[in-house]
Amino acid sequence: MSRRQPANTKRALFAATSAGFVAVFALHSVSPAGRKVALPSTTTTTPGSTQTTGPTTTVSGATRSAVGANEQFGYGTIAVKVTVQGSQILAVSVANIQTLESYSQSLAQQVDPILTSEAMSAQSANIQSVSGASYTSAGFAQSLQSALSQLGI
Amino acid sequence: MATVTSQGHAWPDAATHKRRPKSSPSAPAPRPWVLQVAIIALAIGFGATIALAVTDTTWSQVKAPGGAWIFLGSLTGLAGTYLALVMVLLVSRVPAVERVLGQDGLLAWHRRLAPWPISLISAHVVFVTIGYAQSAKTGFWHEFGVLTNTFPQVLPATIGFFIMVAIAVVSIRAIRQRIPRERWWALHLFMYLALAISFAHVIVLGPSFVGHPLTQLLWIAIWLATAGLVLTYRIGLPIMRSMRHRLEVVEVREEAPGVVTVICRGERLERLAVSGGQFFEWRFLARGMWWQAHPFSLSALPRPPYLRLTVKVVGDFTAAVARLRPGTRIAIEGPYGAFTSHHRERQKAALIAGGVGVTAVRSLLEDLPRGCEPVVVLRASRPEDVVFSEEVAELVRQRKGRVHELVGARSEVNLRGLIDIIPDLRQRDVFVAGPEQFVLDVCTTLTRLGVSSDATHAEIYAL
Repeated sequence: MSRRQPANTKRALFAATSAGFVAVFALHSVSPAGRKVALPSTTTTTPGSTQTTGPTTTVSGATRSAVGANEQFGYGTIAVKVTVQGSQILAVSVANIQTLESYSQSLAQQVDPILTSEAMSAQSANIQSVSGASYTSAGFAQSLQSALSQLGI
Repeated sequence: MATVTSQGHAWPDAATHKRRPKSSPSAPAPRPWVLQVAIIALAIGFGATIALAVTDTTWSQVKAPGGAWIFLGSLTGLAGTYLALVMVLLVSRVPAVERVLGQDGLLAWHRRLAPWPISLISAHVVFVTIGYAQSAKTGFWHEFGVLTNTFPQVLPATIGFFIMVAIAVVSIRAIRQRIPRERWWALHLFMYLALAISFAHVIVLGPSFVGHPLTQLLWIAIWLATAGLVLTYRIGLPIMRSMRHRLEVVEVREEAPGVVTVICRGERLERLAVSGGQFFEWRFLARGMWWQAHPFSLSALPRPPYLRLTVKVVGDFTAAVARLRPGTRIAIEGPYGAFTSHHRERQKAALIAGGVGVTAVRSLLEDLPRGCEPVVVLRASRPEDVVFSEEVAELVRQRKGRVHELVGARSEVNLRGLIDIIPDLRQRDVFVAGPEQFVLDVCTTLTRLGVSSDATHAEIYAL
């Protein structure tokens, strides 16, 4: 059994490694991550159990607010507050965010304005996930949907 | 040099067995394609693992403070862990692969690959710490403490990392040579523990795994499969074989100054498939010896119910082998080795044995067919060091070959003379067995004489 590796073995190895690399890329592009996320309130895409704390609803005149459930999104938890008048969303903001570590914290701070403005223009929780922050986006959307559901929207 | 009591267990004369006795089957033939498929599969896996690190990171994440370092940390961590998995597979002793490459070939690759996983994992630790420190705007060591103390499963992983570093340091040749082999070996086994406790932090924290249950499942599956292979072929199968054959020592006799033959008796040896030239790891269940396993070749094919091995006394363990008492039970691992007749590609063969290397050559001869006309070269420093010369001569005579004894000090004997002894050396499969330096010298000479590496088969006798 020869102990030396001939050149065509090296080529075969390189080809196999590249094949594996490309295969994962192909599979990844087919999977739903990074695409527009339309989330019904019952599903979750994050691992582990979803922690839900009791949502709070305040009713004042025609303007109503609700804070959505505390959604766990893998690197932390996020709760979104929404203020509506009738069925129109007036304001969206992050009520509470806790992250595992500061990288996720700074990432969330970067994407929150984007998610907030998207929610405002979409007037729903059907927002596009921000690439690079898919978990944060998913958690945001779910919490927002939970808040809207409490208000009957 | 003590000889234990002789009970007259004379090994059957080689002349009475012209052909392999039907009672003991040969080891299964090696299938080279198994190795090739395994290598391709591992390469595909490596490419896929690298891709995992790349696909789950985005440009905006990389541009964020510390993001580039974290990405590199993810990449090096995945690559290093995958190569660690390959390292474990290389020493898992899966028979289908071991038959093709041999235990020594697998260990050679294991040693060659070793610097890569440890370097990549070390880089991973440093890069991840730098990255998170930059994003949190704190110092390196402070962040190291935060990672270790607050992130889930990082503390066990850090402990595992330090164990790995300790093993790596101790395995540096200059240091390894200063430690008794058994102590180094015991330390090295802790690698399994280090890998086990580091496992969890990958799927709990890695961006490729968080929220990707399928990837998590696959990663867990391949590690479970690897663990299964190790448990089966390093532990389970040897225990089963040892219990099935229940070997015990029946006699120890002196073959030559400093060389002893151990005759063992076992049950159902007609079911032990072993080829000439192979070896076992022998664990003699006597005080002070039971916790070590050492490799020794069989010096003859099994003659059920007997096995024979021949050992040169070079240190404490082998001296204890010479003092073994009849009735001592033996646990075995194996058979291992690619130094077999199965690996021949040409009709004729040449066998070159240095010192105690004659043991593997002697048992290999029994498996060689008549048409192979073997030329055997026995190399020893002094005439009394040549062992089994009558048995070898008889086996060679039956196969219409010839024997040469090359006796003399190293300075006196020129290995280039091999081409004169064996003029058609380049048309033969050449088997070389003996101490490490001898085998290396002969192989170098063979290359210079134009023998191709495909035709060269080496068995290095090293502890």
